[in-house]
Amino acid sequence: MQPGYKSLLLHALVVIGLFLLQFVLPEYHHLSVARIMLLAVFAMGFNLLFGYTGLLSLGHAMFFAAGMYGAGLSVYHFDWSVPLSFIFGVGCGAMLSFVVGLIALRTTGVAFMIVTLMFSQVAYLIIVYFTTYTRGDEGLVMPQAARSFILLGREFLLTDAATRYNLSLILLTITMVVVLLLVRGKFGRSLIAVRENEPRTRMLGYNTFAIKLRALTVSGTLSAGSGAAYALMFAYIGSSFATIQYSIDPLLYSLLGGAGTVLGPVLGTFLMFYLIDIASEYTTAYLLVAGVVLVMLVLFFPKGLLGTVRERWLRWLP
Amino acid sequence: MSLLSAKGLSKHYGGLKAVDEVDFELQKGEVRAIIGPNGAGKTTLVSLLCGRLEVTAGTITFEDHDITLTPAYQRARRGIAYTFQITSIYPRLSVRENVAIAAQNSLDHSSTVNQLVSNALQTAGISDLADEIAGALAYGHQRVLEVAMGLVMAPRLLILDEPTQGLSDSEINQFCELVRDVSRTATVLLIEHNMQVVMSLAERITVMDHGQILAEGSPQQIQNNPAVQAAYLGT
Repeated sequence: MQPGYKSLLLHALVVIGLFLLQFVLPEYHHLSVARIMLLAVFAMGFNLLFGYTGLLSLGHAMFFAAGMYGAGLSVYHFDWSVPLSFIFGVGCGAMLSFVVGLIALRTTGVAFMIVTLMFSQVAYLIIVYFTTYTRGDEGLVMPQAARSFILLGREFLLTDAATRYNLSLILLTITMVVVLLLVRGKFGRSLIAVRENEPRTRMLGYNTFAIKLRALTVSGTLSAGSGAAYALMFAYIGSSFATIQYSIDPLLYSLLGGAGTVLGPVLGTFLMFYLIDIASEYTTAYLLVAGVVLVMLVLFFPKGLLGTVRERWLRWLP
Repeated sequence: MSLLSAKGLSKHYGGLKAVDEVDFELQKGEVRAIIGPNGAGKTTLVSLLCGRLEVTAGTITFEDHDITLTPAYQRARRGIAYTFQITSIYPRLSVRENVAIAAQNSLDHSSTVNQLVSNALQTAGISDLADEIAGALAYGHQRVLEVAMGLVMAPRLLILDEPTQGLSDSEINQFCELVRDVSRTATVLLIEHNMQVVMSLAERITVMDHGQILAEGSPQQIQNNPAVQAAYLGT
């Protein structure tokens, strides 16, 4: 079988597996997996920039929050319909990431990390500052009217667990297809070229700034999609989603699963979510467990799980 | 016919005049060598031509377009390919991927990226290494890969910065063959220390010293030029 078909088959199997999983999962895990799939979308968006383009942003929480607040505030204050506010949230993330990119991409390396971190901090402080509209730390609960919507003549109830699960799965699938198409084509090759050797890439006729800006914008837009869906499905927005923790999480997920692989962030999100979930049953120091795992990982599996699998066994893994 | 022409080209670093008011002209189809002692300004000059460095003063014209302020990546797209003095490849990617990255911006639109890559690998004689990781190649092969990446872009002007540095004698011979191949379709500008290579490849030679052009002419003229002998050739 050709590598291209193998990878298509693998990704299709993952989606089918996730679809079938909902029929056997107990209620608690059913809800968890719906959340994980949305967070995995965030991680995949982050990984497009980090894993493929080689740019480590420490401010992706602002893109997640842009989607979350774009969608949540428009529902809460303007009574927009759920699909419209979702699109608006995604648009907010696209705009923000493009503008932040124009400025932050003038820097590289550590400076880029700091600039994105600062921008994200500004975004967080803006949310807290306009507490009249956002209720800051305390957050807002989405109104009852926004718990259902009609699309293509069908009514979707967001209070229904199965609906949430499958909408999350749809968003995950769309993201996976978008990322696969991007990284397997010419654009993906140019991202990897920038990651591996930017000066050389420039001399081969690539406008590396434009490539990085495109990567950051797509990455921020996907992250915003995750944030917008999270707000609408779980009916809550709060400033804690804009804190540094939400910038670090997708980094951890990507590192664990394998940065620079399409499925790595998905796997990483699952494992890290359940690792923390299980550890927190036994100890209040559950983040310590996550930290230790991460240190071990960087020491022994610097390429993450799927990165190592690709290196040793499956060279065709995208 | 003139392919590239530079007038009054200067690059100053504070008080240091790395390149100082150089007039330089390249004819279409020629193989030109630039020689000169270390620190003469050779690499700086070609870096100005390909856009890696910004000029302090002067103008550069390529195929009748003023490219003085054109960014490097656009010059590459116009057909100026540059290979680095210190090998600059993608060490963690396969040889094929290395060439494919270059091929995506090729001026040769007659075939697909895959075909261009195969052809370039064949011309460079490294087809059998296509699936190796570039960083694991022997140094000589990495140099050849550099040239293959330049080749696949189907450049109008190929700039080679000390291409034979660190190569063995037999590798140098193969390399000269490759450059002769390339020169059938492209103008070649090379910086070179190995005088045998220069004498066997170059149709014209430019000698630089202290950021200026000391002499220019056929290999014969340069060998017989007393000023060049004094400054550089030594004998």
